[in-house]
Amino acid sequence: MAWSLPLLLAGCVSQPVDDAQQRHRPAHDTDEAGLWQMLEREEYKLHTSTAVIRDEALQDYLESVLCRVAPAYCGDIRLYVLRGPHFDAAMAPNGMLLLFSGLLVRLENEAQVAAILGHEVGHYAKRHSLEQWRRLRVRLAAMETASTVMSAGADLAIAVGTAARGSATAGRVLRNAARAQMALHYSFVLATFVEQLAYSREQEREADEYGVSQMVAAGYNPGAAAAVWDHLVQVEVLTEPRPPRFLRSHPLPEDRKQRALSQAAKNRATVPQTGRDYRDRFLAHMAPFRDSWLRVARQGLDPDLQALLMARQRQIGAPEGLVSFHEASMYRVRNGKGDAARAMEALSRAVRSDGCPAEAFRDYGFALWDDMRTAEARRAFEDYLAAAPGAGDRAMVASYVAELQ
Amino acid sequence: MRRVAALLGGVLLAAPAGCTYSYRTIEPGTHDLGRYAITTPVAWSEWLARPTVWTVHGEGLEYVLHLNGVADGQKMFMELGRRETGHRFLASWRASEVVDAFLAGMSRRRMNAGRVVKLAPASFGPWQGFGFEVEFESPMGMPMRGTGRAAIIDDELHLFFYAGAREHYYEKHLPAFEAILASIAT
Repeated sequence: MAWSLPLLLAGCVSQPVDDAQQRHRPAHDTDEAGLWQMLEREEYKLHTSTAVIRDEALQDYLESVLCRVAPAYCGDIRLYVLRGPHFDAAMAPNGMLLLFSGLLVRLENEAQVAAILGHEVGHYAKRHSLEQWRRLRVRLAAMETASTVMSAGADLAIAVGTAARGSATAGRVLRNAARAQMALHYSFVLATFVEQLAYSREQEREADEYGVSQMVAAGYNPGAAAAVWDHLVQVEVLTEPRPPRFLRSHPLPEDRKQRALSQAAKNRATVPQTGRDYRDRFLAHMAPFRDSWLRVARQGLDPDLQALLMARQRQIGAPEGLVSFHEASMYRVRNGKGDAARAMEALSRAVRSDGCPAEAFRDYGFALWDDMRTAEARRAFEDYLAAAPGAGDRAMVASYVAELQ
Repeated sequence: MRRVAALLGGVLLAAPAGCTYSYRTIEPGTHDLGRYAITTPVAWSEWLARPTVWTVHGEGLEYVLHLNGVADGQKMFMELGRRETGHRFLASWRASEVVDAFLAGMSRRRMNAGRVVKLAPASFGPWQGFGFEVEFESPMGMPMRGTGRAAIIDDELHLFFYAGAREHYYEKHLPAFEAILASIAT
């Protein structure tokens, strides 16, 4: 089930289905009802999962954006915010929408959230996951039959080949035939997935177009979608291994960005208003979570992606003290050539800037200590103890102060 | 669907098979761990990885992790069948940095929302080290507690960490873990 859920949540095409109606619920004797039942079991787990961020103000805010960008489905979709380092969101056919903190922490305004939500609702409205599931089910059943036949053939060939050891040539031929059959089998599996993914690209385009049109109707700046894909381009460049173009489940972000730009231009020509971004109110709602979400993202990302994340924070306008602190932590962990000096510089900047977490003073103390600037290190540790009187590591840091006196 | 999933999973996982999990029993008594010996009052199932894992009821409920001399520059974690993960240990680290790096490594597989509730100087057998306590959630969302003891000895990190479900299991084997810590001797 664990591997199959992403497939259910992703979006791919199969036989055509009607768009989702409001308050849609499948009849109990349909295959769709079976799919919903599976997903409802998964959704039930979310009700007790600690990965879900339960904050009333955040939830209300994001749901208000969802209802604004997709009023027709406002009552049908249940939105969950989950902790996760990556730039990710997913929509299930039963209306379960997952937004990851790694995505929210990289966005800079409400219009960009609306772009993501509009895209995901596009998958729901077009019932892409249902199509994908139906198609996958048929193909996997065919694959299972073929696999059974081929495995039986391979077993037989190996048995005959082994028995025919007296005739070396016959044995080799039969064993090679068995290997060829298995190679064919693996090719079939790969082909099934490749075709599945190719269909998915079409659906993603459809969802992109749906999302932008909904943004425009809701009065959001449609150019925000292009900005989202632009950032995704940068993320993908650093994501290794980068799958070959034909194996991608989503359209290339470069393509999506260009399409979003042209669609935005077209919409601007036909819609009198250019739309708004609502940057300030979005950042205000994200502010209480930014530090913890950056910690989650940093711990789950490779150094290059962390560096991109920090650059993105500056672009967004996150507090300099917070960004510099996380940047320093990144350098200290990476510990490459010149990173100690970079960490020192970042910490020095952090402790003099707004939004600096208390730990920045402690880490600055370590950096100064490493640099043999013991008096300054002691003062930094004292600043930390003053800034975080209830810190769990108080006794440890107090021992450093005593050692440095 | 389950048969289909099993088939597909089997096909996709067939190639990297060859990695097998290997457990052995650690009997009650004294065990030589190289630089020091410990005495455990209870039996554990041991899984050799980095860190070494000991458990009684299963890793989902309680476990002891042991980093037995991570060298300067070596990564702190290496799960069986996976590449090395986590931070590269630096012998120059202080206690806070060791714990931060340890929790960051743990967050990849075993720990959500880890929070240090206590960190203070403590002995590690005959060596000066530090102790720490953390609260976190398991990847399945179960509230957990953990306590650790560590020291940097000749530029190598030695660390014991015990964690268990906050309800019942943490308390159940904490005395055994404390007995192990108290028994560290050269």
